Amino acid sequence: MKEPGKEKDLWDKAAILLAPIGGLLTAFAVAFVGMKGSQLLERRQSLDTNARLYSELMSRREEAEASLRKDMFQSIITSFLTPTTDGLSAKVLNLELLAYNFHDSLNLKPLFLEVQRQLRRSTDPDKADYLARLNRVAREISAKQLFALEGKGQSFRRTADLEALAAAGAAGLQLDPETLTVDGQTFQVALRVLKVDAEQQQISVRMRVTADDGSAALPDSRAQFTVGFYDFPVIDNTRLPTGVRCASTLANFSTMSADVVTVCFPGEYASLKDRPYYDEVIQKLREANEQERAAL
Amino acid sequence: MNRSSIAPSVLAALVALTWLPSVAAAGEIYGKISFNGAAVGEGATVAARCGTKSYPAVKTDRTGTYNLVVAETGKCTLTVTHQGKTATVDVASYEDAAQADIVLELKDGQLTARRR
Repeated sequence: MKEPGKEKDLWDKAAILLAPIGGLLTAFAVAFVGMKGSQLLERRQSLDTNARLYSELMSRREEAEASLRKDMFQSIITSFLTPTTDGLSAKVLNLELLAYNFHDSLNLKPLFLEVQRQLRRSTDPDKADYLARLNRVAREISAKQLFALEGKGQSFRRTADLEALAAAGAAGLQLDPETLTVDGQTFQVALRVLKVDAEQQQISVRMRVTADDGSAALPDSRAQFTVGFYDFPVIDNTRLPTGVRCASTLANFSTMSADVVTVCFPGEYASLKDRPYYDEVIQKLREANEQERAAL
Repeated sequence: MNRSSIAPSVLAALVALTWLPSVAAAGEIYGKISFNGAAVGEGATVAARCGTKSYPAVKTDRTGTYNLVVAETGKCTLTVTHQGKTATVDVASYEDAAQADIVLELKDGQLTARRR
């Protein structure tokens, strides 16, 4: 404490001068922090509002599109399910519309095969053109789906020699296996062609998937199915125990040979109708949490 | 126009008429060639033999992709030449284009080719 009458030294003078400056600086600091905090909050609110607006717009758009698709689907599917006098041309056109608009949410193979059967029985002079149109739309859709899936997974192509298959008999024809790596899992996929349906341009195959390192996480899996032009990989695939999907489709067919494309891809790229198992969802969430923790 | 000048034209037209359907039914074989896990780039050639007919080699582009047009449909053998070594692989040709991606590998100094 300063004694009365004692002359003020340099520190006392500095204290007198600096005290209000300190107060002023404190006030500035408080004002600055408040302003910055308020700006940050405003920015965050603005981002939240934008995100909410975007999601609202997207959901409204989805709703409008879903409603349109529903109406469209109902009117097209009715033409197949009710007895009508529609000609083959109308049926092929309706199937084309269905295929182009709903190929990733509906398995249209039974409808394709039914229209194909009707066309084969028909005496319409244009039936060859209609059949070609059916095959063309199916191949276009398969090619588009393969193109998208090959970006997320891996694929391979094999040629089945149908003359060799006929000679092999019931044992079928083993095609060269391929090693694929999808979602960090490496496994081998082998196809055995069992028989051919030349009229419907389909082959019957048995797919065998084995873990490359013999790990127990992926036990040997086998599935037998028919493969034709109307098998769309996004919608018609086989689920492996690890969640990866594998699908085969026909790329080309002649009386002598058939080209089969097999694609394996992560389960999240399968169609909307293919719901994931709960344990798969939980596993994915766990993985995401672990990745987040590792990043911190 | 005298008879001698008409005859070659008629012959040419007949040849063209018999040749055109086979061209119309021609199939394209295309694909990408990779070696050691990477595209071969412009460094490879692919020739084809379908039945008794041979097709001259075509070069791959910078992405390692080749395109061959063959007149026949059926079994074909592709001969791939890369870094002075050759390997063959069997494919099928169709009326429509057929994709045949090829993986090259060196095994005991020998170049081998397989479909992918």
